[in-house]
Amino acid sequence: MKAGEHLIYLVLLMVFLVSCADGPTGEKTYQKSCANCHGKEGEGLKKLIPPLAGSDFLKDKKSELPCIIRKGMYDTILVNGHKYIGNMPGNNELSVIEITNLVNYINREWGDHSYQSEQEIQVELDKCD
Amino acid sequence: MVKGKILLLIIGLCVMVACKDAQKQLPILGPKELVEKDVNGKIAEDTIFHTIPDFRFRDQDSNWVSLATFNDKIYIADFFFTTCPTICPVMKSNLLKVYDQYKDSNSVSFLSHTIDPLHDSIPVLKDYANRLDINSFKWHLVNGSKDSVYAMAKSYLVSAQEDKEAPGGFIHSGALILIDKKRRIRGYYDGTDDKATAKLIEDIKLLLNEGR
Repeated sequence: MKAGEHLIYLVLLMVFLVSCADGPTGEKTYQKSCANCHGKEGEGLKKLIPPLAGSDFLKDKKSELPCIIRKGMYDTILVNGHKYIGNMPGNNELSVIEITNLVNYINREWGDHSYQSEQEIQVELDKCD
Repeated sequence: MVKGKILLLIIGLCVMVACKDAQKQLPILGPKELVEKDVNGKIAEDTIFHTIPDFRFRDQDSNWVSLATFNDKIYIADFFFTTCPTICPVMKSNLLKVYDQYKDSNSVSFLSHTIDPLHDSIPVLKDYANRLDINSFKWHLVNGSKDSVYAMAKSYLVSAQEDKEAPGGFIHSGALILIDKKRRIRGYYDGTDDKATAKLIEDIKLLLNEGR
């Protein structure tokens, strides 16, 4: 009986810990603000919208990611050898912490698995023009 | 005696269930009109269903597309614009799933109206179609004047209009609209929703079997 109670507390604690981690938040922001175009699994849309999954662009331009998310992208870019010409709208409504969680989610799912702090992301965002 | 009644009840229920299954078909949507007509000297009531009026637009290959293009075919219509930053990509991604399912069927076609005809010229539509890797005999992306495309949206009973406040400058319904061989509306499906898309794929099967 006592062991059972302990187990319940342990499970509750785990649930709390998981919900505090940045995972769900970054993923939620991705599904809300990015997935319509880049796909639920980061697969992109044929040759119309570039993928994040397996993208050489994501790995090469990692430091630009915060600015691209905030300001959007209006250039023709080359991803995995394909030219993409569409415009990506910016996401001015996202806060620094939301962008931080989003960047970490994207890098964990499809990038180099790196982690950046809110301060590091803020430094990048200050450099956006 | 009681046994006999129960047996009858069971048989009745079986017939009802069987009938329900046989009659399973898609509803005919839109405003209906009841008219009286003369059939061999007798007055009979008839229902006139809403139908899509004829049109004439150019597609990504500069070919004219009209209702005749969809002769003896059912088709799925939608409204979009190529620079749409919100719901269009996911709509197109879902529509591609439907397209892939019926790629080899001669009885199913696709018709996408751009609601931004000034930007979405025929070369722009052609590039868009190439990027989606779709066959222009099966999936027509059409360009018509703003007035005519908004009138088309009205006839499909969906919204499409210019709105400077909206992201991308236009607002439009995310509906995929299923049209039968008699040009009647048989279903609306939320093109941004996976489940609705799966239902569309099933409903097309049902519609293709109708009247066989």
